[in-house]
Amino acid sequence: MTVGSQVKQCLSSIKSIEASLSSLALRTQDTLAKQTFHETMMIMDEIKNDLKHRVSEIEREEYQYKGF
Amino acid sequence: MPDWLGIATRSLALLLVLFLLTKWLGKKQISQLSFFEYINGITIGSIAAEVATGLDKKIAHGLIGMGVWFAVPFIVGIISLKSKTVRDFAEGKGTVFIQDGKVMEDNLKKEKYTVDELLAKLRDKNVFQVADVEFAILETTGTLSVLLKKENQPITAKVLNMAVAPIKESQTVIMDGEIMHEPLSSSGNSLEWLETELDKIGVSIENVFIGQVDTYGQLTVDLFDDKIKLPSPQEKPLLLATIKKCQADLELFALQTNSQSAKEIYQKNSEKLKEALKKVTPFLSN
Repeated sequence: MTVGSQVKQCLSSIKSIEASLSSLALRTQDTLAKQTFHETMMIMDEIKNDLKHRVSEIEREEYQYKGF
Repeated sequence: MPDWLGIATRSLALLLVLFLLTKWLGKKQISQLSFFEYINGITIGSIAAEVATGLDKKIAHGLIGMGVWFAVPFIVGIISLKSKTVRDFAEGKGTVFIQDGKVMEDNLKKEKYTVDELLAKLRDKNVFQVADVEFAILETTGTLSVLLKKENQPITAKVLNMAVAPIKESQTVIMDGEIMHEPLSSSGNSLEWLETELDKIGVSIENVFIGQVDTYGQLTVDLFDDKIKLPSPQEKPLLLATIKKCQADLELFALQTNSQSAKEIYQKNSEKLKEALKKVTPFLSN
């Protein structure tokens, strides 16, 4: 597996984490747990944006990795 | 009226009166917290039994007796709410048996407790050595309440300085194969959600004996058919494992890359994820 696809895989894992956290935050009855899940979601969003940026960089540098 | 009919009607009437009186006196009467409630419970019952079977006695006399035995504790109960002095007199006070780890022999004597009885009461609380006890008090109910020395108390998350997730009561949404609509709605889930969850684990609702939803909206079920093995809820452990994997991946990328700026980005995000992991772990691991 190339570095490009590894980073892409990590990016989609982060996206999946974000979605799971969002679903947990919605279903949880406890407010503190809800808040913690939300805050973690925010962090995931930041990481996701950085990774997206990095993926486009890799794609620019090495054109053959472009696309999913 | 034949005798047996008289006894039956009296019994029924007195049963009703007794039921109403006890209900009126409340749950406190049932728990018999003081000797006042203890004797009162016995006496009202005895009067009722006496009048129900003794046909030569007038039923009105029995009712008057029961009324008095009901009224006095009722009134004393109301006054007790307001006044501490009355409360102490009517309901009594606890007697300290062990203070600062030392047995109060005089107090034992006052309550006519022998050493054996004290030891038996302590054993009842799973204490086999007097030296483990910091404080013990004999309540008015006759039970012994025991405070262990700090080092002998069970370890709690607070002692270990551990972060734990808060917990809420779980809702029982399925009983005997039937959906309980009120708990289901107070757990914040819909009927469709429940059906989807049951489909996910592949069981039909008729087969579910008990189904409960926990704080995190996870459904756990007990089936009529005990031969079927059910998977435990995997969502949270899986999520935790995925976060851990991503964190490790980012660290790996940081090591592998030759570009300095990329290395910094990976490192920064790996740290962020580590922080998030620390924060969310107590909520995901249980």
